[in-house]
Amino acid sequence: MNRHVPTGLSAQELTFQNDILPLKDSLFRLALRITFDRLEAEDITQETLLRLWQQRDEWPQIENMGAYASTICRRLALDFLKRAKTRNEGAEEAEGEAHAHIAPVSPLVALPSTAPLPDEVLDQRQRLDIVRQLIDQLPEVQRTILQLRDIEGYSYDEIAQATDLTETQVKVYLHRARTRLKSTLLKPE
Amino acid sequence: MDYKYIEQLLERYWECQTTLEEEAILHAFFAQSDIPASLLPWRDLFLAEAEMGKAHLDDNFTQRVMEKIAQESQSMEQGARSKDQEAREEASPALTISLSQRLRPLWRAAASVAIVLSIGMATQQGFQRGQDGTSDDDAWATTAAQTANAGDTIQLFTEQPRPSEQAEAVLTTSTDSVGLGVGKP
Repeated sequence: MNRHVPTGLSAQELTFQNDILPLKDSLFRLALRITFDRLEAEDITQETLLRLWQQRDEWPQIENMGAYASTICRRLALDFLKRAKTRNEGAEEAEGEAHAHIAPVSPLVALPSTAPLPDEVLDQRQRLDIVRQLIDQLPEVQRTILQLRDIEGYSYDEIAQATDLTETQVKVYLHRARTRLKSTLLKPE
Repeated sequence: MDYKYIEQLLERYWECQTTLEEEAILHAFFAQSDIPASLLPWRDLFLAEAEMGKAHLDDNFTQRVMEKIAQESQSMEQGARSKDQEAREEASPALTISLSQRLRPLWRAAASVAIVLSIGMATQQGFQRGQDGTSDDDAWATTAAQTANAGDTIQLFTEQPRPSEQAEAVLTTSTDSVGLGVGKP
């Protein structure tokens, strides 16, 4: 079945390997940041890459592959959340779970505000987990933008393309996210 | 060590005024082990972000994707044959468009020839006029005369008996003579 590829890669296959495939981990992290589900994030990443491959005739028109790939990835991740939400609503109608898509919050998250433990008690691993969970509690847009900027190092222009927002809107959301993290991180002190 | 620069960068970071390069400096700074107490609250944020940036897919992922893509290309190739036919069917309307487009240069050529001819005639007339040294009135007169001459020629031409008429005349005379011959043996 797969004896098609190894003999020699076409120009498009080379482009895919050199320019698109390296985006996989960044896409995976974005999907993970939105879905909080490793397996799902992996599937979404694969689907994103396959869709990019199916659109290979349009590559020359794509201005920024990273931003474009992120758009597809984010849409797929949001679609998954929507599906998961409707599934959950069907299953747990009585509970009326409004935030079914938000990952279960670990008890660690509540620690800084309720019972702050001194640095020496919590090892670094746990402290970093707390920050990660703080980020994961941000609204999706803020979280995605923070992910793309502070973790993946995208420019404002690229993030605007990836999220279908203006650069100004991106900065507003990022400002909210950073301010929230700043104030939460300051509280325990 | 002076941390003013880092503090300034941080202030601008919260306000979303830092560039990507400046943010990289902040990340690099907080990755060090030696952080002053005043900046400690922010260390975990930058370290956590760095940590989150390390999450990655397993090694088999690439292989799985490439296999899927190979399958995809294969099925696309199989589908290509029927698509070829579709393309051929679609080709005819496209051809009619291109034909009408192809005729356009022809019209253009015809138009330009007409323009060149009229300009040529005009200049020729002007040139002749210049050679004769005639005034405008004279020129009009000459043109009128020329037209008249041309009319005459045409008239002359039309007044000339048509060859068929001539032939008829000859024929009638000859039959007459023949008739005479036959009638009077």
